Amino acid sequence: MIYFRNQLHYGLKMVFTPIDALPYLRGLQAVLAGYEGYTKGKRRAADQAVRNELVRAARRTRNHITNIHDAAFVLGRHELAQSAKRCCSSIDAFVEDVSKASSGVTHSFLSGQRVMKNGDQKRLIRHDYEVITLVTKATNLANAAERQLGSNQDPVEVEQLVKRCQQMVTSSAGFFSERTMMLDGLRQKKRRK
Amino acid sequence: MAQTYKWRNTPDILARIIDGNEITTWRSQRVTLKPNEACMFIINGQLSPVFSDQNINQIGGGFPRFLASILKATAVDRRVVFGMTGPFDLAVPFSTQSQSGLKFQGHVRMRLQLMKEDLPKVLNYFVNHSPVLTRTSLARLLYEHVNQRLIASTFSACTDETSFRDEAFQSHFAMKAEMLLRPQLASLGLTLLGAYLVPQRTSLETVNLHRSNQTHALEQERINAEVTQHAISLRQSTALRQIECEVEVARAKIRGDQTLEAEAALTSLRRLEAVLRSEDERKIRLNLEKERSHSIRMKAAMEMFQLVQESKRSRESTN
Repeated sequence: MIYFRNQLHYGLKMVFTPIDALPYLRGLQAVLAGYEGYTKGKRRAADQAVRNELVRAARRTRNHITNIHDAAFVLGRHELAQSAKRCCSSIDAFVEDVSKASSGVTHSFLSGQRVMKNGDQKRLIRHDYEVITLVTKATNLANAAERQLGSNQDPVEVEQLVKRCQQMVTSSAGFFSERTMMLDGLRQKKRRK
Repeated sequence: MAQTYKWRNTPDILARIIDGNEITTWRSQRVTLKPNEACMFIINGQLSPVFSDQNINQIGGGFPRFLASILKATAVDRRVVFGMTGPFDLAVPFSTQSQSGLKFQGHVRMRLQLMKEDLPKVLNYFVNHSPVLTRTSLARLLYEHVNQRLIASTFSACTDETSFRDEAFQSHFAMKAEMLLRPQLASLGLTLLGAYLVPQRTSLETVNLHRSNQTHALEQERINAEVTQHAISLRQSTALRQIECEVEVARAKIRGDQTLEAEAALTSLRRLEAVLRSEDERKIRLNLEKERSHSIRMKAAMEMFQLVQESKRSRESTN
């Protein structure tokens, strides 16, 4: 019998998902089944689900770009292959950022974290939605680039798509780092007036 | 109270599969998975999800499990696969020869990563190899593939010993490695993040290095000789100057000595003159005294003679 510790207690107050964030929540639920936002007892699970989805999307993007890299190398288009390699490196860095990002600890009382409020939840849900949208766009770009390469289109266009994909991944990484700042904000105790 | 199970006791270990039924301790074993570690269970041949970044309280052992095994309430086959999901470096040595007969040696440095989602693929390794995947065993596994598929084809077209050091060659090699090694690595669940070639010195480079070293040594010798010559000339001029100074000093000293001797002689002469003068004065005084006493005695004698004459004349007159 295998069982795992599940210690997800974040505070004494029950926090509900804000109504303003519902459209984003619905959007996320379309991608992540079972995503319920950062409600009590679900915060770590939600964080893990979002990060897993980001890694999955990034790996999909990487697979497309890898195919472009191999095809370009075989065809002797070394500049395109090098662009693809650079894009792969950016994706690897993004995956590392996501998989090694801090997600807070379970015991908020002991860690000095303050209780998550509706405003925090709203910001985090919206942020999750936007990051996943960005990475999905990068995946779509990689997919389009591979399709164009397969249909013998102009290699310059393919390279441009790969570069746009890399730019999107870099933006996603930058945007994702904002999430750490939000979580850091939760760690700061309320200032006494 | 559970005991902590350590699946990785050296940094060389990348993955490990353990048989949960072989853990027969009375205390149950638990493991804490860090963010760069992942774990997966195979229960009766079925794969569980991959876990990471959490505590797993019971991976084996303990009295309840022992009791359950007696009652046949546990799984018959229970294995746990652990993996390190952080990037790691791997060096695979190579040795090859180009078509023109040039020999190349060195190693291929690869940066690999076992993604968390790819942990089940590591089972492909454990099917035919030991239950511990280390860097060494992985390098040994990839040795032939790297040498025959990648290195041989890369260096076969290499005509000179200078082209494989430039950026274009390395870039081309990285792309080729990416393409040729991916199927092999993907079957083991590994992702190739980057690869580059680290060749050892070739014979031509050794000769060039020797030439450069000798030229450098010669130049160094020349500089040393120049410095030594300069030092010798400086020392010579210093010695000459020192000799001149010593001569001058000696001369001055001699001059000084002569002066002193002359002064001493003069002093002695003066002293002698004074002695002589005083002796002369003494003699003169003595002579004067003698003359004075003689004159006094003469005067007294003359007076006495006159007295005698007068008395004589008076006596004669009386007679």
